[in-house]
This record gives sequence, structure tokens and C-alpha cells, in this order.
Amino acid sequence: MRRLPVYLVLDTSGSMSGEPIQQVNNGVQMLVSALRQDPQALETAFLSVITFDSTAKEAVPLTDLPSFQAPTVAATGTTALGEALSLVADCAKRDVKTASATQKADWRPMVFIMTDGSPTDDFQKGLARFKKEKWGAVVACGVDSADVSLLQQIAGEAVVTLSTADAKALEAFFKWVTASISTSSKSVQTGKEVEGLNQLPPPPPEIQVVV
Amino acid sequence: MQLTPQRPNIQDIPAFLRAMAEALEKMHVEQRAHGGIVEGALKDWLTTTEDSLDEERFRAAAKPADQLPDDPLQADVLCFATYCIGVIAGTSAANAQPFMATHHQGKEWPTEFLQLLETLAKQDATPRVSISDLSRALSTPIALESVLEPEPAGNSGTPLVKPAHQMPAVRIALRNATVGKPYSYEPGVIASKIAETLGHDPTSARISHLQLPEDCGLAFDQLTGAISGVPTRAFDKELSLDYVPSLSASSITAKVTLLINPDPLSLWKDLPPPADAPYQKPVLAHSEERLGPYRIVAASRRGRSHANKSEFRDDDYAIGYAEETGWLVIVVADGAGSAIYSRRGSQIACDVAKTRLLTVLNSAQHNQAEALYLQHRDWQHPEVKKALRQCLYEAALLAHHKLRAEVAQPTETLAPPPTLRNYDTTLILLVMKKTGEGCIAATFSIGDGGAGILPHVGEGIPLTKADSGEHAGQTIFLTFDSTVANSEANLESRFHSAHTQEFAGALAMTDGITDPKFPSDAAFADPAQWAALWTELQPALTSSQALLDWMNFFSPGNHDDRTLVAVLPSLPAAPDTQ
Repeated sequence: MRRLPVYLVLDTSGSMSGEPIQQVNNGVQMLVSALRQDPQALETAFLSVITFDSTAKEAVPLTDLPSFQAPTVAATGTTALGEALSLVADCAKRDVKTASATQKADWRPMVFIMTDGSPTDDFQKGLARFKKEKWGAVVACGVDSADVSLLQQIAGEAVVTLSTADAKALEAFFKWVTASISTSSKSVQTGKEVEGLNQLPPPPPEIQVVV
Repeated sequence: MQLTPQRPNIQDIPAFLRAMAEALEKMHVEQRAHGGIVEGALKDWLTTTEDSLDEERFRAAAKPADQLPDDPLQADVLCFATYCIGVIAGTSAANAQPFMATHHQGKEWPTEFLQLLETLAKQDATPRVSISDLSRALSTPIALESVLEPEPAGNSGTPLVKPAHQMPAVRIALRNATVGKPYSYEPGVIASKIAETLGHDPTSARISHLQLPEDCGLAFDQLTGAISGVPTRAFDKELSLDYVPSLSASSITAKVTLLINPDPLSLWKDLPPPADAPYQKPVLAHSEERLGPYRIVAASRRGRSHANKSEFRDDDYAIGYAEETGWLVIVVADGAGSAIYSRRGSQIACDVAKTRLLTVLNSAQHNQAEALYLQHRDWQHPEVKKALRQCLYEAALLAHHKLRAEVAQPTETLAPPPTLRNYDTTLILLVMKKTGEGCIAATFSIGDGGAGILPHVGEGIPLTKADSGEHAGQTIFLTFDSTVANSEANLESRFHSAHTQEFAGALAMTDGITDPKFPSDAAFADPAQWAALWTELQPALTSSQALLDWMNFFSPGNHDDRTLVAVLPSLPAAPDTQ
């Protein structure tokens, strides 16, 4: 079966502590619950959660939606975004099946990156590794003080920002991510690849699209 | 309420509040309440220098609820909530801003608890919140795999509440289940896992109680601690479980999350396409007919992914027979789901290509392949094959141009004006003619799906090569100029032919069938896989309605439109000579 791999790359650095990290946890939980009601997503979407603070780690390896259990993440440390980019690229290279004589290809993976800070590690090195993999939709979400110009290097025009790290904006973001995954899992059946922001559902007003 | 809330002089405030909530909860279960007294009682607890809750004394102050005025249980809840708000917000309740849950979210207080307090603080529209709700929300979740709050080490002081409350709140996440799929936990596994997490000896640990949701299809064996069964309905709530660390110990109640996924099959909706949309097309089509030496059974049905979203069937097929020359023409096309008028694209492609092929193949004047065959007496002769290839290519090219004509002058009123890509469709052309016991078959294909011929029931010969990329979803369509380019390389890659000595059947299908039935390119190239599909199809080929029914098979992740045209010998096949 052709899978739709989805990587959620989440900033868990110290600056996210308190309300923002709580909302991230709620958001992931909400995303999974909503996707479970979509038969297409339930059968095709595979989720992975990668978190980064002082280091990056694969909090949940790529897992089919029925088996997926949302992790509870805590906020601490610095912002190793570069390492997170390398890690998600390594994971995708390992996980995502490409076409060969004996297997059908997966859909190109979707990546949602969320951060509120500027990287404290070697960002360019991670970016170079990230760019070596082939991605479907790559969306970067900058919260508050995030360095938007760096996010644009990752995701091109698909950079959104949240005006504040408040519950409503974060909830809106995760709802939108859910809709985006649903849309993409639908296109799984219909032969249309999602590659840019313009093929995803329109972001809600709480999310600013950076142009 | 006249509280002067300050942080009480105790170490673990959440545990203190939890203990108090649980004490109130027990009281309320017994239909006892503090009512108006609780306020004074709480003040006492606040100002006391004791660092623990004396549950006995606290409960002794309660009275039967029916002896108290108004709504004593609710009065207790409001008092307790006000007290908690004071402790959390750290300000005088009289001067405080309205309590906002979002201002206090963090690691210390569970979000749900804060939200309940916020609800209770809005006194104008207070929905009923029970002390059980507050108590449950207060319990800090701890994952089984990683204990976030280990048992306090070297706890030498007085326990916060006697006796069981010294244990941290434990939350256990059971493996997810799915409706219809067998599910089990071996005897003792759950107890051992909790014991490991809490640092207990797993050999003497057991689960004394676990209430699984009623009628869910799963059963918990009290004796062995095993869970087994086949879930019958979706479920996503918290359960509670009593864990007994050892024979002499008292039980600990833990929260258990159990998630039962719905059966994906039950989530698919079957919605009709919009009746006012242009280019109407029925969601089902099927036909069976005898043409010359052939019996043809065909069916096309809308995929679940389209039915779920009220979309049209985008597949199509067409069948024709050239009476004069005995050529059979089969066309199947799969309109791209991403293209809004692809249902029309596939229909045009099928009709135009079929008509063109029939006209050419049935005419002595135009059928170059037939003429060259009479000259060379060999269907595999390069000139004969080239003539067949040209005939097929021209049909595809004509279909391509008809799509362009439709864009320029749509047969229906469309707004906004369409583009060529709105009509994206794949195309598979299969022509065949009986030769003695066998037949000559040739194909021209653009995109995915496929066709093949079975000389006998034990072996199939694939006659197409799907256009697919490194990742899924990367196919090409008849609307692309490159697919109808008049270059040797393009034509050669799209044309295939075979001349067989026997004939048992032939198939042309869209990817709604080939994706689930041929899980890889290697499988598509494997003659045995074709034989297996042919065998599976036999009962379905008794009628086109039977084929349509068969086509409704469920294959996870494969829910595209499905179209299949099967060609069989009209008379019973000669005995298999292999």
C-alpha cells in the first residue's frame, strides 16, 4: 500500500515552556483524534514526531495512524533546529519507500516544522542535509520571535507565522495541519501531489502567511 | 466567598489539593457534604501549620446532604474551586481578575483542571461540575513507558493522606485496538509493566480490577489479568484499573487510556455526486455482450474515496467490434481525480479512440496492418507491428486533439473556461483478433493501469508498462504533449504486442484494480500473478452485475475508481493443453 508519511518537527526548547508546550501537546492529540475520523487518513497516513531542544530526537518513529500514541513533550534547553533538520532527513531516507520493481512507492513525505526561536546550532549544515531529500509539502511555522528568513530557507514560500503563542492560534495551526494531511491523503487516491502552500487548504486568520 | 487564599505551608500543593478533592468526592458519593461549613473548614486547613490533610477530621465535619440547605454538593464544589483559584492565581479572590485557564498553563496544573476552574469562576453561567470532574482533572497523567513523577524517594515525613495517596498518579496507555481486529494482552503483562515502572517486584503484582467498556467486544480476565477479544465499537476514553503490588499491599487505582480505532470501512460515506454539476456520469456502469468469437464482461464503479466526498466516477470504458475484419477494440481510461472535468476527459478519450480504431481496423482500405499481414503472413513482422502501432497511436492522438477541442468549445456551459489539464486522463487501448486457436493482441498505453492477455488459464502476459515515478502519484496523462509525441522512443515505449497460440482471456483495467491486485511492478510482470487474478475473477465473470459486485472488494488504502473489461472466448475454451 502507498503510505503518506507525515513528520511533525516540534520545538521543545525552554522558551516554549508553559502554555505553548501544553498547547503543542494538546494540538498533536487533537490532530490525531481528528485524523482518525477520516477513513482515507486512517488507512494511509503515517505519523512521526521529531522534537528538538538542546538535541534533536525521534520522539515517535513513523507509525501508522491506528497505532499512533501521541507523546507528551516537555520544554527545556536550547534550539537545535539544524540537528532536527538533519534528523528528519535521515528518518525520511530510512522510512520512505521509493518505487522499485518489487515495491510501490510511498507518497512524498509532508513535513511540518514548528519553532519559536532562532537555531543555536549549525543551521546551514542541517539545512543542506534536509535539502538532499525529496519532500512533498514542507511547511514551517514560526511562533512569535522565530527567525522567518531562516524558515524561508527551509520551506520557501510555505512559511506561516503565529502572531502569539496563545491557545487559539496554536489550536488553529494544528487544525490546519490536520486539514492539510486530510487533503493530501485524499490526493493519495486521486493522483495529485501536494507540493506547495497553494495546494493545501487556506490557512486560518490566526496564521499569517509570510510573503 | 471570603477566603484569603495564600499558598498553604505545605510542600506538595497539587497532592494536597488532590487529597482534598478525593476526600470530598468520597463524601459526596455517600451523599454527605460540608455545604456552608466547608468554607470555614477550608479556612482552617489554610491557616493550619499542618502540612497534610487529616482526612478523617475533614470528613467528620460533613453532614448528610439532605440536612443542609440549597444545593450543598454544588456549594462544596464552588468553595473548593474558589480555594484552588486562590492558591493557583495567588491573589485575593476579591480583587482578582476573572480567572483565565490560559494564564496558568504549564507543568504544574493539568489544562483540563484549569479549564474547569475557569468555567466555575464564571458565576453567571455555571454549568454543573462535580467534584469527581475536578478530582479526575487534577490527577497528573503519567505515561507507562516513562514515569514523569516517580514515587518520592526517602519520604520520611507524614504521608499527605493516609494511606494509599502516597502513590503517584499512574497513567497507563494500552496498545491501540481497531474494530474488527483481534486484540490481546497476555496474562500478567499489564501488571508486570506497571510494577516495572514503579520499581515493584513484578512477580507478585496483579490487576484486581479493570472495567472495560461495555459491549466493546474485549474482555478482561480477572483471574489471569489477560485481555482478549475482537473490538466491536470505537472507543477513546479513560478507564480505571486497580493495581495490587503484592499480596499484602492495598490496591492503587490507575488511569488507563484505551483507544479503539473505528473500522475504516464504517467511516466511508456513499454520497451522490452533485446533480447540478456539468458532465453528469452514473456512478456505476456495466455491460456484457457477445461480439464475434468473444464474450465481453465489463464493469466500472466509483471508488470509495470519490463516494466519500460526493464526487463523480472519473473512470470510463468503451468496447467495439469490427464485423468485417474481426478486430475487437477495448478502451479503458482513468480520469485524474485532481482534474475537475476528468470524468468527461476519460469519456471523450474512450469514445473517440474506439470509434477511430473501429473505422480504421474495419476498412480494407485503411487497415494497413491487415494488408501487410496478408503480405508477410507474420503478425510479428516489423512492418506489420509498425502498422498496428501507427493505427493505435493515431487513435490516441485523435483523442488528445478532441480533448483540446473540448477545451476550446465545451459541450456544456462551464464557468470559468476550462483548461486542458481539467480533462487529465490516462488511456489504455487494446485491440485483438482471433488467429486460429490463439490471437494477436496489441496495446498502446498512457499513464497507469494495465492490460494483459492469458494464452491459457495458468499464465498471463502483461501488455503494458505503467508510467510511474519515484514516488506515488507521479503519472502522466493523455493531455500531455509528450505522451502523444510522434517520436520513435515515445511510440515504442507505449506499444506492446503479442501473438499467442492459444487464448483463454484478456483483461484491461484501471489502477483501481491493478494497484491492489498487483502490489509491485514485479508482480505485474509475473505470469503467475495474472493467472491468480484470472482464477479469482472466474465467479465474477458469470455476469457483469457479478463483476460489479466483486469490484467492491475492500483493500486498505486502495479506494480509487475501478474499471475492468474481461474478454473471454465465446465458446467454452479448449482443454488446457499445458
